[in-house]
Amino acid sequence: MTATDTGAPALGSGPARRSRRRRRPGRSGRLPYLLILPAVLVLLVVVVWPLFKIVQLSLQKQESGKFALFHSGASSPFAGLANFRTVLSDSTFWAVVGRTAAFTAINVVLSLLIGIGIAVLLNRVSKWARLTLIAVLLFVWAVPTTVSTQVFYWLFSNQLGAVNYLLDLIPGVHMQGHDWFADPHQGLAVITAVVVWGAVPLLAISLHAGIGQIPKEIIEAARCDGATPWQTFRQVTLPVLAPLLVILTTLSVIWDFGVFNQIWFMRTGHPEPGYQTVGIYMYSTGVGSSHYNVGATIGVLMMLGLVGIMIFYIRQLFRIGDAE
Amino acid sequence: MSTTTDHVATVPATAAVRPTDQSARRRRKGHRSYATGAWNALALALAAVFGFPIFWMLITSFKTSADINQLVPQFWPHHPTLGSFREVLGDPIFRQDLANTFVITLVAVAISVVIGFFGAMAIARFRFAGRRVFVFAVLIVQMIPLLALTIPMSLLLDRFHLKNSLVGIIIAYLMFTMPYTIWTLRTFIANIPKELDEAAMVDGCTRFQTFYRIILPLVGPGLIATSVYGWILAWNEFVLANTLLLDNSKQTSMIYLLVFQSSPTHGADYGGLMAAAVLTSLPVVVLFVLFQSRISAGLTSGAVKG
Repeated sequence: MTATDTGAPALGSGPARRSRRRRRPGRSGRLPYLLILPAVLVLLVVVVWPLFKIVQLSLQKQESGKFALFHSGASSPFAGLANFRTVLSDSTFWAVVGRTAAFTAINVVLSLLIGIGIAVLLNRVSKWARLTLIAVLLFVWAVPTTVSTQVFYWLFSNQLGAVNYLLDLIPGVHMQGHDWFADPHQGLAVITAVVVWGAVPLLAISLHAGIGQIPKEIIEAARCDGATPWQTFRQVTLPVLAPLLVILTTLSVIWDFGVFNQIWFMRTGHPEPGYQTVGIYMYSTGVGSSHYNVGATIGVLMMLGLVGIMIFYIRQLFRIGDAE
Repeated sequence: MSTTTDHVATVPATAAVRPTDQSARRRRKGHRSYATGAWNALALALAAVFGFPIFWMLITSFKTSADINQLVPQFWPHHPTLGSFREVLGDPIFRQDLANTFVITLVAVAISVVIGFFGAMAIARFRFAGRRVFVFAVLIVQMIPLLALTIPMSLLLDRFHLKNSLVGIIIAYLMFTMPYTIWTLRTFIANIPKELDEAAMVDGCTRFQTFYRIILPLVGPGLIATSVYGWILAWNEFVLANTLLLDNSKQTSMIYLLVFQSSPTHGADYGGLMAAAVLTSLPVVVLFVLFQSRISAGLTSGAVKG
């Protein structure tokens, strides 16, 4: 490496760039900038601008009537942190945050446990059983969340739903006509079923692939040394899978925190207060009842809440070397 | 390389075991096939549980409404009919929404793949000042909860009179298709050995020829996989469409499903609802199942590689 290679960026250093001797593959002046230019422009318009706008909205006072805000967004009076104070001192908001945390935790833990279980199982069974289960999981993975929610909505319907009928067959259980959605806790349990059902295939299939990459010899060696299957799993499989598990857990947290469609469709577009997670609460406030500024404030808080986990995820990616 | 040596090392061990320990081996094997049978049964039970909702959706869509409304659920369509499909397909709004979804998805994915490909080339093949910042930004953007940005996006599009228009929603969809495309294509390009480009350039190819003759053919499958998954993401999107598209004639299929479910006239028409759901998910389910191995290679390659 010559000094110019590691020195100042090539952009703008005219004579150095033109000199043939220094043109190497991988370091070529203006070309990479031309290549990323369109992408940068698009991202500026569709992401950076809205990000700026949402912060701006969160610092402004809501004008009466949405149209005032629609057409003169910039001239709305500056309100400092008043919106944040309003939101953060509202007990409803904290109830929503608690519900979201519990909902996310339960969904992540359940889908990971079932996902790992199925991944291990897939490595135990005969080929035909493996192919059958994987085929089913692929179809489950492919179904849009909106559609799967409607199917579960129909399965758990209180009048003619198949689930009530099947549960009623169990001796001693009386579920006929049971309304799963009268109590938000039960309703959220049904929504958890939809979320976990949809999340398991990705987890199980990628973990299955991860386990498949562990050399058979290591497992054999552990078995020869007298390790029980549980010890083999705990001491050999899990440590090898750790980087993949960290990434999948982080992604699951981000996804389950942001669950929207499943709740929205299960409540046919009108989630009652007991069903509101942060995302739903923000949307209902900001879009549903046109309180743009308060909604934007909740949105900013929501993003701040995710920043920690995002940084963790990106550091993990950089550590693995995937982002290099 | 290390795998081969490991393998060689284990061979003598097994060879030594074989003659002395025949019966124990056979006993263990018998025990194991017993266990395998139990695990197989568990796998089939899981397949049944996971598959049941899809099975239920399909058979409901083929049932007559009399069979759907029986107090004892029918676990097979005894009088199969296409009535529900005919009802849904006969609805001009459904056909219009399907066409809207198709156009929006196609244009958003095409724009993202073309522009994203250039961006991915830059970060996978060049070192330049600001590259790390760009990579970092793309990663962050991919994880921003889009939900939060619906409010500012809706206000911004409204200011340019693009709310409730297909152009507006296509712009909004670039929020998630673009970062996804850049990131995934980067992985596919990075997996092509750099030596190939260098060899081609040493042999006198220009940079453009290298790109055209070496990278493009090799990245072809990755381009297809990325487009397919981008297609699925955009097709399944609901929140932005629900916020930005207000007219019946401009909605997407996902909104059609919700409107169908919540309208008093259709509310209990589970046959029609399931038929609409089947028709709406068919284009993505088929594509996904066909391309899954490549798609998940792109999604988790970095993670598995570690």
